[in-house]
Amino acid sequence: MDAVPGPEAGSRRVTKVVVLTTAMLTFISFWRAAAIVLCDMASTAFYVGGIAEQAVGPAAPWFILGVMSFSACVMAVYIESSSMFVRGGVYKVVKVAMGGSVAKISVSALMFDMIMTGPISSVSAGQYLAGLLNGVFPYMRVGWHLEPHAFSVLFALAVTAYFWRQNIRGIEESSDKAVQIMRLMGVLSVVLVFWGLWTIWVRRPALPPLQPVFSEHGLGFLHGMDPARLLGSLGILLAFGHAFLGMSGLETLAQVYREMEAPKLQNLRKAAAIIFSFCFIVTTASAFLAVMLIPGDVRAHYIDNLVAGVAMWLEGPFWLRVAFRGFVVATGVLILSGAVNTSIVGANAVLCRVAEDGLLHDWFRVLHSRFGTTHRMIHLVALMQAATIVLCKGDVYLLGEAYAFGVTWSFIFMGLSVMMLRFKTPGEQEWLVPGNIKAGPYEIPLGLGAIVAVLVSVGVANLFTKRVATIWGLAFTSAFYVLILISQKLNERRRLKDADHREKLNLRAENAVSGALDELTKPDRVLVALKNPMNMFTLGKVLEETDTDKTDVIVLHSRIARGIVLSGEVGALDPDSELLFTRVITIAEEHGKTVTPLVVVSNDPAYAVAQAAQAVGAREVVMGVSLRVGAVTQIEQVALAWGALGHKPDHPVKVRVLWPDGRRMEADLT
Amino acid sequence: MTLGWFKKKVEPEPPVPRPAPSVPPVGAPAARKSLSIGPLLREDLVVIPPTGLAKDALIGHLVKDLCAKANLGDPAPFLAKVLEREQGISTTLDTGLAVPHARMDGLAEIAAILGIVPGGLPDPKQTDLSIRAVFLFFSPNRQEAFTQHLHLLRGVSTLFQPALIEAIIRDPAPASVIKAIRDKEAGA
Repeated sequence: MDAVPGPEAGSRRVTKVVVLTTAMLTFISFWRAAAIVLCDMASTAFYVGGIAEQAVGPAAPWFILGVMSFSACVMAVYIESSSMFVRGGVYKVVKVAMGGSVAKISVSALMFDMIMTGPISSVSAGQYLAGLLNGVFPYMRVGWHLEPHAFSVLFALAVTAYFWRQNIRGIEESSDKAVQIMRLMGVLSVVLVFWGLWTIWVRRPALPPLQPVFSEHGLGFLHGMDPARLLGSLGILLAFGHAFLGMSGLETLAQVYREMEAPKLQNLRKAAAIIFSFCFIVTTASAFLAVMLIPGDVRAHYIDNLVAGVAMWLEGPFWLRVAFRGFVVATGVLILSGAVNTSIVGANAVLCRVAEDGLLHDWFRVLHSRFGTTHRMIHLVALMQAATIVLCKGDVYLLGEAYAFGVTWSFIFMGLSVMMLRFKTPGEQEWLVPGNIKAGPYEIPLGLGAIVAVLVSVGVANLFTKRVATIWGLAFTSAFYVLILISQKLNERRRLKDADHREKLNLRAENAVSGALDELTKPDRVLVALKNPMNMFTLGKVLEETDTDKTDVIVLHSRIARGIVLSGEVGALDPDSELLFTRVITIAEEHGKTVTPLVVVSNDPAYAVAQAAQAVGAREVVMGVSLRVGAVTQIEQVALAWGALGHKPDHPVKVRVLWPDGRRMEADLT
Repeated sequence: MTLGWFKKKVEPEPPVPRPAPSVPPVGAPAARKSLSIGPLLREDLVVIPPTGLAKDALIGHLVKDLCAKANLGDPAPFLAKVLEREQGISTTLDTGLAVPHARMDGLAEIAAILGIVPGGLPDPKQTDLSIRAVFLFFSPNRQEAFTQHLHLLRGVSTLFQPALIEAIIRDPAPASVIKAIRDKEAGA
């Protein structure tokens, strides 16, 4: 910038700049979003077959097929909920539909789901690794034998500790990693399916039986019931419930929606289609192949690493099967470990959402002094996961049983809430679950109703058949419910004074506006000056009209310091600035468009705008109209400050003042 | 923040030297023209007002002077408009220049006067700022003249940097002032 040095005394120049480095303001494509969700949801393919078979016998693949087909319906429920709430998920949707008390119960169930995701994934990864190592040790003339359960506990603790540390340090596992893992998983799936089909063609094995054969564990509290009663629809329902965790991970879809780029809903539907297709093929195919290809008497040996067993029982040379098993285990360990991270991140996000509503004591929300992360929440999640890993002693079946409680009840709460919102807030849904019948002035949600009916039936059935899930799930849900109830009481007094939610923002101080340039990568730049948190229409209009693929939108808020006091004031944002940027984040998320927020300290807002616009090379400066001085004076002041700064831009710069009613005044500044 | 896992990894790119304009501003001239300040001033329009005047009085003095010398007629509506604008937000800049101005109906062209305040005058609204030069002007209140009006505001504040103000205070003779302004505009 070719600036002429200005006078020191009485200077209006900006001397301090704060860049908000909040990660929320970057948005991802539907491919990346799908990869992130798949890292969680597709990982279940590695353990759901074994868990379901232990409960319902060799008929398990049919029920997994049913559950994976039904996952499309549950996904539709999540899409409808996301079409109403950008920051959705079970907690938000249930809160709006059924109120705070039920929302607290639902979020407790959801936390159980997320806490369990980590242990089941990491322990399962440990089982796959132990199985592989024990399989290859004899060929390497190594006389070791790893006790799979003990090894998987140690491995799971190590993985959890790794991701706990990464999350505390705020080291972001980029969505690139998720995409890379899913590429590997894609290759694995293609090979597995085609090699499996060829093996079936060669061996002509029988299809799995349709009739479930419940184990003692599989019946839970119903053990001892007349077996004749377990035939027919009740048996199908009970067996269906045992395969339900095959579609765990859908909550991640709601969590990731806020980070999805525009057009958000369209991208969400594309992501959902990818997720469904992939999971349906992979999870179902691996379950069928396991039962069809691995002999019944051998299958128990592979029950905790069933996909590895499939690899070993494919048709082909031994060395190739061992190599493929190695690939299966490597990919499985990666995707399952990724699911551990997703669980920590997701649980932290849910806790943040709960904390935003004052349901968690603000002690939990304090950011790490060095890394700026919500470290206390991360500690809590990691500790609970570590405790679960130790308590389960490496038993994947036990974990799977317990895990199903959180998964099922999260879906039930979500389904019931979306159904209630059809009647409570009609017309707010941008997209509806299909199957709606018009009856006069009413629209009857038959499709949604059927989905909710299935979910509730499975949830109730699982209460009886999954002893561990019922006991652990109810105990955890109750304990977490009490925790948030106590936290809410402690927060109540403070919340009365401070009703608005404020985003915890990470700040980076710079000595000049140019320090923020690292954040800007697009060829075109628009600067939006915001002043009043109650009057944010300007940003919404700019985001509507701007192609953020080509344009950086810089949101500038100038904190006015009267006199010459310009230094040492940027350690924290004042409440108004916090509220303003909380709303900036919300608007950016609603549009799915990236913004770069800046706070400058200046005693003249016109100077702040001009200096920031010059420093970032803005093509356009946009302001909301000031009712006090008027648009003409606003533009004049920017023109005066622009000139006083002595900058001669080599491109036209436009100033635009917007009115809430759509009027606008534009002028060429240069 | 909490959902860092979901953050899109942005590969570092080389810094972008200058953004390319995509849409020309509405009402902008096809080619950007710089508005010269020097030709707006004659030697009789460079004055040193009496000392001891407050800012409003100083503006009043300059308005009367300009209306008389540029044959603008009754100064009262001009003064009222300028003071109304000053009451909104002061036009005093941290360079020591004040730019009181108004857009007037029926005015054919821009009229300007430069007042030099060697002793300095504290701005009543921003007491840390000292006014050392006053560039007062009126421009036509027409939509098509607004861009020119803005360019004049920007041009004046660009031109009157502390070094030039210092120079004209040192040698406030109108001929020298006009020469200094023209030299500066010519890039000398």
